[in-house]
Amino acid sequence: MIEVAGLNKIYGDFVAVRDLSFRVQPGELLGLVGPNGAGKTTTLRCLSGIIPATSGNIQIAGHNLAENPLGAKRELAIFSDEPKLFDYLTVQQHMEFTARLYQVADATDKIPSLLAELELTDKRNQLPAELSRGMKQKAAIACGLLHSPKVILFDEPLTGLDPLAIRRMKNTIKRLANEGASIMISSHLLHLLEELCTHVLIVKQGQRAAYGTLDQVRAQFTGAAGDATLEEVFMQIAEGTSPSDFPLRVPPSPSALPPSLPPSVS
Amino acid sequence: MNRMGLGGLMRILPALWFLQSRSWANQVKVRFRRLRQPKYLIGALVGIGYLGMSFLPALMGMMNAGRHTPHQPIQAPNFSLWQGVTEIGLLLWLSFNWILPSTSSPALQFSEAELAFLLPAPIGRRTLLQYKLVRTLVPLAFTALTFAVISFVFRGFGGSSARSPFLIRFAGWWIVMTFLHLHATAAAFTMTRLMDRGVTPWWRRLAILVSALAVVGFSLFWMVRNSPELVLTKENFAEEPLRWIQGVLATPPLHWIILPIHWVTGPRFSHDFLEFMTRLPMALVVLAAHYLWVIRTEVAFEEASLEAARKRTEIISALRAGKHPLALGKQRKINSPFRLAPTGFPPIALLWKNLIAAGSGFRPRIFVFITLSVSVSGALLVNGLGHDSSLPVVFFGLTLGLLGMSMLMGPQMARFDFRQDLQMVDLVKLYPLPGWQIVLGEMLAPVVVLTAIQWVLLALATVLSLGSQVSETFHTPMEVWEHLLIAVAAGIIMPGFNLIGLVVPNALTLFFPAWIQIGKEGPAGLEVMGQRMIMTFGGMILIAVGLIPASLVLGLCCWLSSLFLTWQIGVAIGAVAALAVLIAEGALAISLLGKTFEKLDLT
Repeated sequence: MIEVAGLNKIYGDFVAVRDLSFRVQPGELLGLVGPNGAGKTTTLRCLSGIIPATSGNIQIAGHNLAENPLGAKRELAIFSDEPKLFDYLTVQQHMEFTARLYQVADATDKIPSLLAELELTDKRNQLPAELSRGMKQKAAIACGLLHSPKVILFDEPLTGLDPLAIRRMKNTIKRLANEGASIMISSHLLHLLEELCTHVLIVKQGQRAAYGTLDQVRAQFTGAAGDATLEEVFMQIAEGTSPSDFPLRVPPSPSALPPSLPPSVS
Repeated sequence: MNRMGLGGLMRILPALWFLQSRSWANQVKVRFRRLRQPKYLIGALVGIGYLGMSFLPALMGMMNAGRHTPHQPIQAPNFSLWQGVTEIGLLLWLSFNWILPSTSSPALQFSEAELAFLLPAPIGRRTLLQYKLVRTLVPLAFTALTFAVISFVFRGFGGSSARSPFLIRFAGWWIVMTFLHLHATAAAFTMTRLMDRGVTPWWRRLAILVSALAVVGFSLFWMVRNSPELVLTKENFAEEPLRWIQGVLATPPLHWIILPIHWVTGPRFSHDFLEFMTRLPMALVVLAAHYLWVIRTEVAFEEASLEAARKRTEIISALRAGKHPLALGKQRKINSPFRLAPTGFPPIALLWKNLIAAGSGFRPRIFVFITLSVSVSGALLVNGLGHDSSLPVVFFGLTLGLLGMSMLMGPQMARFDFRQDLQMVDLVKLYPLPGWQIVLGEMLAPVVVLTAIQWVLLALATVLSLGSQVSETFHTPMEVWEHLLIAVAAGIIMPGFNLIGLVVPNALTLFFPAWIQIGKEGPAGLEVMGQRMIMTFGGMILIAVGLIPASLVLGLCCWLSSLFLTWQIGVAIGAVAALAVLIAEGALAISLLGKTFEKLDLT
């Protein structure tokens, strides 16, 4: 589970993320949406421990990220839009390296099955430069899934993938959610989020502009009928001058917000 | 693409001039703007100071050159000798260019933006070529300026060429550089044309090699038949071979081949402006002929340029991303240095990864094989040569020199640690490891590699020192076991020495990431050069300070032991104690750096 309360990330005078709170339960898929520069990637980087939050509380699978970063990281995987692989390691070597870092005792059995599942078996001895973008993405996913993470963050996961790879990626994401992982997806592909996500968080200028289930968010902007598409909701938010221009007409459901989180750490 | 003549170039020239002038102006603006940041300003001041100290004597010399040169003796033969050397060098370079042309840097380099804007634009092929050739004259002028300054600084070694005024040097080198560029471009086009006509690179190489051997062979034969043979004495061994080669070059048919090069280098080796002006026309004729060769060779360079630009962009992106050189060329898989178990001490995974990054040569069995081979070779050398042979002494000196270099320069050169991986900080920060383990893991590989290299050199030096040649030369009448004791003691200290040597650059990388070159390529410029100088010299001072405690402990152990026991015991105890001190220092530093890494926020 991901629980975030009062997350702030400030660079000098610039507030990249302001007082962000949300929660992703096991099996839920939260879509993170916002215009360019809204703070989506910064939020994901804070959640994964890549950059420290200025203040706020982040719980990853029950571990407080600030107090127990290693425990949190062991339960986490993040996949960026550009798969980050070492140029000099083969796919198999990447997995062996990851196994040792995460102390995956049954890696010897898991590596072949993951490679087979992601159709990478015949590519296992190839270097990243010899792989297509989709294959690189798969290799990154194979490494990320090796330690069976409970929390998975995707940053623009479909960028540069062909239709077949997109279909497979979507299936993988759905499968992981079905298996109980808490998943967050940051993407500009709103139809993808509508198709995959159970919940959506729209941010603008680092602040939460809308949050809840898809139906709740639609209802916030189109009334009880809730017949607006996510794109229409997004356009309404994007064209507003500030987050205060779009009051939350429907309060988030109790289950959609963290109930009682520990006080913020700074 | 339709052809356009000079008129076409004139029509399009304002646009191309706009592109070029604005690009340069913006580049300068960016450089000046970043001087607002103290790190660049300080770097710029240091860089300017360094350049000032380096080139001030040259500038002073330029001002005084006119007054002093008339009094310098003229050695005409020396002067033509230097021109001959230059001609030989150019001939070799051009031949090499035909046999093994560069595939990574084609003669005509277009950036991706240039290709995107200029290729689809209504600009003729010839105009595009002319633009590119003219544009290249500017960087060639900068290269010529550098050559001119260097040759001016070292003009004392140039015999009568010391008399050449600076302007002649600059203009002369510019002509030579332009010739080389035009020739490389024309050669590349011609080779492409040959390929189009079915002449494979191997046939081309064979034809060129056979022709070259035939020409050189015939000239040598003619020279040997008609000239006295080469007789070397102590007095003439430096210049006589060059004179003899000059004789060969003056013999047809080689002479005819080298004649265009002789014409092109003529202006550079002129004594005064009058001579320069008399030699200039023939040089310009050669340049004009090459220009026509380039312009008239019908080759579709666009595709090759597109491909080259794409590759170059990939290379630049990879370098900027701090990626491994393997990413830049043909990739090949490197086998694991050892089997990495899925569980165990996690930093070993980083050692394993960085050993793969270091290349395929660093395997335990290869290390053992090299050590044994080198030691056996050294032993054979020592025993196979007579007592009066100086070769083992020379090799001993060279080995010690290399050992010293590996200790001083090794930590700067073995960069497969944070200096490589900090560009992947997003990934490294995800590792579920405490900071000190990541720091330790990152530094282990260079420590291991440097220590392995130093142990090999130490083994060779020890074997060579056992021979009578070295011990007699250096008057070190020690027992064999004493030689071995010193070698083992040095071998014990080396890992600790390397650890401290690597802690400093990695600490600087973590504390001052903006000041350090991370990855293979970073920003360039005078200010960046100054930054790197500050960090390099600062790092060396820190390493020296870090070595003081261990040196004191070693010295103390040796001194006390020599007073109360024997110096040999002191060396043995001192080495272990010094290693302990170095490891303790390293551990403390790694612990602190680990905390720094955990807090590191590169954004």
